[in-house]
Amino acid sequence: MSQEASPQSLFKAFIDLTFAPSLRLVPVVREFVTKFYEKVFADQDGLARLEVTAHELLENAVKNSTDGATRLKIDYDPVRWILTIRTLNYPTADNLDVLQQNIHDLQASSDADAYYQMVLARSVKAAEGSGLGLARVWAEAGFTIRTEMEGVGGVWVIAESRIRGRAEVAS
Amino acid sequence: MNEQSEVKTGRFVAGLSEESSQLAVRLGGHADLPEVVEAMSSLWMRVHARALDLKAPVVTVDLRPLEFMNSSCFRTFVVWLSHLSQSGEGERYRVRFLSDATRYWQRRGLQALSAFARDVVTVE
Repeated sequence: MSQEASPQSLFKAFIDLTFAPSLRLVPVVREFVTKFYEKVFADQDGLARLEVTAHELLENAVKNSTDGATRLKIDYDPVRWILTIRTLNYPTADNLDVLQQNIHDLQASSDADAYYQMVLARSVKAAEGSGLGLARVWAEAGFTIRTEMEGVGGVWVIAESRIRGRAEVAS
Repeated sequence: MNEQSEVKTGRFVAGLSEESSQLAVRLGGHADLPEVVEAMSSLWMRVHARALDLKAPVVTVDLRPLEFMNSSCFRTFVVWLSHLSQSGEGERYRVRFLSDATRYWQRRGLQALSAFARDVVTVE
């Protein structure tokens, strides 16, 4: 965890954390980042949206990790009030295909609520790979989602949303 | 007669109570680990069987003390409500959720659940 000064000398609230891919650690990390950003956000709903998004992205990353590590980066821009949450993992080719397909379907859908309902129905039959966590991040928590490839076989899942910050963070 | 039982798994707790044909479940703590998913799946099967035994018209699920729920635990509601929606008239009851409107995930999650199973779900 570190604080970096932006070119405008504003403090940025920045977390970069790597941990062993254990589902038991996901709630610990979620609670840490939620506590941290409690000091940054003026918006309680925004904090709750961060909590859901961090948890779901982390859980996906942990479940699909093949290299013994899960990385989380959270970056908050206090000028534009943009929160970016990134997770990095190295999934199997099959799991990467499922992830890319779920994100493609989500991005192709113009109605987040309708997409969420479709995924809820799909999840009744398929617990794994249903995309319920990502649908929740998009429809429930209101984050956009995209991916970027990293090196050979690595994938960043990137969620972004606008959350109102406290004045003192940007002063 | 008032009967009560409790399920406790790590930081998750569920209390089940019944009185005549009234059945109520109160969830608390954190629902965010794999063993909680298993506990919740078993709980809804037990609640469903008991609701049919009691011919309960409504099962009340109080989520207000529940601080967090992940999508895997949320899915256990989806499976239960999907099954209930598809049940015949004699095997159907309503599920009444009590929620804390200050908890964002409860507001948004229960909106989605009530749209998913609008014929059996009410949210207060």
